[in-house]
Amino acid sequence: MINAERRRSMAERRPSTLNRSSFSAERKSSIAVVPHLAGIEDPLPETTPDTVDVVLVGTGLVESILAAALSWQGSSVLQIDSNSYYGDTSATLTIDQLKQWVQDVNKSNLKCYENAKLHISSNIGRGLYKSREFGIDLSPKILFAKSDLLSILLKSRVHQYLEFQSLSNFHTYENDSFERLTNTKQEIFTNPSLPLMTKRNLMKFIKFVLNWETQAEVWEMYRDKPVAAFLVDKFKLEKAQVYELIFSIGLCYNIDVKTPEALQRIRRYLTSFDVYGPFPVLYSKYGGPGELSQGFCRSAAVAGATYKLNESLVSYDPDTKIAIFGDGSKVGVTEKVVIAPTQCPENSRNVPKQKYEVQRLTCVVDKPCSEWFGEGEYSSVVVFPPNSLKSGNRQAVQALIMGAGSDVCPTGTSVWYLTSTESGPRGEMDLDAALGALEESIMRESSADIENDEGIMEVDNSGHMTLNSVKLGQSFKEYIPREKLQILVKLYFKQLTSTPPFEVVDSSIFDINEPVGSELKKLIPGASDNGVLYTPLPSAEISYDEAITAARMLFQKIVGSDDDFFDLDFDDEDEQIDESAVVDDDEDDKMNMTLDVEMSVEPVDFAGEMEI
Amino acid sequence: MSSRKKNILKVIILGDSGVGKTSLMHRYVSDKFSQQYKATIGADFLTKEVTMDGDKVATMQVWDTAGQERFQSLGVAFYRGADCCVLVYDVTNAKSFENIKSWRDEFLVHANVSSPDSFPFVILGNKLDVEESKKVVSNRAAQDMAKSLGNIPLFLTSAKGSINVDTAFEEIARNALQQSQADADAFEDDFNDAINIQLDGEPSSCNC
Repeated sequence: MINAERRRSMAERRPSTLNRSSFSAERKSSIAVVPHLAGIEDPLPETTPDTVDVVLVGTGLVESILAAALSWQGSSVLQIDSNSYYGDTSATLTIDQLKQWVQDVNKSNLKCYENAKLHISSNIGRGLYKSREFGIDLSPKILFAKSDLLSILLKSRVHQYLEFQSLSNFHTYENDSFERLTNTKQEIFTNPSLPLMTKRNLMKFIKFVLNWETQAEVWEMYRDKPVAAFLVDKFKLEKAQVYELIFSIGLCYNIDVKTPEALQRIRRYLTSFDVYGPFPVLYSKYGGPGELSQGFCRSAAVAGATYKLNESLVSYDPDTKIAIFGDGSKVGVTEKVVIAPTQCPENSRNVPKQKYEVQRLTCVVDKPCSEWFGEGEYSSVVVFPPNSLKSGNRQAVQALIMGAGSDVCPTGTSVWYLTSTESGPRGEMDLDAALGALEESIMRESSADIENDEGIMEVDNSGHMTLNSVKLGQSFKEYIPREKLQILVKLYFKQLTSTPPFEVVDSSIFDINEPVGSELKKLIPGASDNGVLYTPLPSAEISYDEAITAARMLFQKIVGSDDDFFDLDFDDEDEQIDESAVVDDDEDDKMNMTLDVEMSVEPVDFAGEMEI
Repeated sequence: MSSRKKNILKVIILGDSGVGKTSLMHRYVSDKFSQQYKATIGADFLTKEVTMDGDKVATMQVWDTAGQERFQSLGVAFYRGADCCVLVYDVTNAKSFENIKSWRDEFLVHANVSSPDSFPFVILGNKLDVEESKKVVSNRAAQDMAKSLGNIPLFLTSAKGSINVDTAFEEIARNALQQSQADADAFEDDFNDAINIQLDGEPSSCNC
């Protein structure tokens, strides 16, 4: 009954692709959207297929999204990774895996990473904590509630493999203290520290930014100018608000960010707010892009893709269209070979230039850091705007704090991910300064002395005791912590990328082997990677916004159009819902409705609204 | 690792390619309980209401390997939060029988279960319907193996002939339920805090 009616693949359903020469008629008849029922049919072969449409090298997020998109579109996909785990540049690693990774970087076995330094406390080695209790992201990301990736997660049903938690606390570091972001209409109105005029200007700006593109007359003159000037000139906002808008809400790295880019980023936050509740951002439990990569790979596998970890590409010959792998096996490629720069074969000559630096400092500390989280939450973002640190930072430093409740570290600890786009030694200095500032703050805040200070505790109008952040900030300056923070893991590294800060993906990297006119671009003799496509490495961007764009561009390069990019509807599900609803008609049948409801557990309360 | 979601039992089926993992889960879910199954397309996971003594107690999700086991390429996320692990071999394939132990070890390495010694496994020897001459794994050898791995329950099944499949999955469900309750007790203060991102009017367009 299950597969009596096999769902036709996209390629089968779309007559438009029938005439495409690249999709051979032979393949048409053998497209397996539904994987073989092992055991009913013959067992799957123990070798890789003889021919596939696309070979993907690396299982980072972009490659994995691409694998799922291509597989559901009807292409046959072989995806490999030279590591024993999924994720590549997006991986979530245990401590043992991290040790190996750092060694690989420093032995130059791992391209596009430099200068990795790892310190691990003996408390982990001695068995107080186990290596696999940790899930450390190589490129931590947060997911805006209104974003292209989130739509794709739903469409592809990859969200079923994942668990999401909310993140509502965004702090801006200024004058040695953290101010939590005033980000809702209510908070703007009720915040006693904001003068009336500022409130009015801020509301005016928020109203504008939600439809900023349609009001070119307001910002046209500032198209190529920094947004700070625009906010001050046009909306009379003051420095504190300007900084919050640019760095905490917009999550920009630099004060010079151009007006349109910044407006887009500010709106991203505001429109994401209250989609699922009073927070703009979600993240996946157990690790970020590493989890998502695995979800998309599983989805691709369900759609028929073949997976092989511990496998590397040796070379690809664009004339014979044969790819050769590390174990000596070969595969014919009808469409394209797509490679992550980190996993390019030896003798590669076509890897795009990785001109930009992303510097990261990742620490696991023995503090839960719940002081920084919203109620019932396990994560927050802390932004250090330019010039707020002792290092005199020119670029902002962004910190993502993950608590044990997100299941990336043991109870009592938390993970601090610090990121800077500053290049060279300055970047490392900025990161160290930001770490110092975080350390000082958490030692003060988690100290018992604070709670005994009556001036700091306030009773709000609902009778709850709250901490007064202004007074907290003042008392921080005088407070000298008695104990020292214990750092369990400290990892510093530099990652290179072709994506400039603030820009999504530099599409020119996909054109390297493109034909110029009717002439094939000259191939480099002896190169092992002629005719392949390279994927972009993750940028410093804290959100997932670039991943779908990159995967979609590559999809279009391979398939010829992006019409079929996750053009999925699982309409078969609806009938079954009705069916089961009839059968299990008891009071407690909430569980029977749909998978999605089953997965939902407890919907969050929609506390504040933000209609403007 | 804490239990995944309240009232959802995650069961994963492991074993060599071609032993009949997918067909076993389809036989179980679609045959006897055909009115209740909710299949995803492809071999993803199937869900079924679990009843004990006539009362519905939980929803069981049976996860297929989706073919990723072929080159030992199952990711850690697949194993996460499992409440019971089913190990399948083919009675006509000695290699698949020998690999049962490796699959169990593989599971324990990746799943990060709180107490590996008491975690429930169930072994299924599938393809019982084939003629005697083709069977290469003796019942005795299977029993010895099950015993040596810590008295794991063993069932000889046929997905094709519908032999013993329901009995085996009843045992699997019972074990999964026990494990899930034990986990829930151990993590009492663990919140069920996952957010449902599937809204009625799902976010349709992207503004980024």
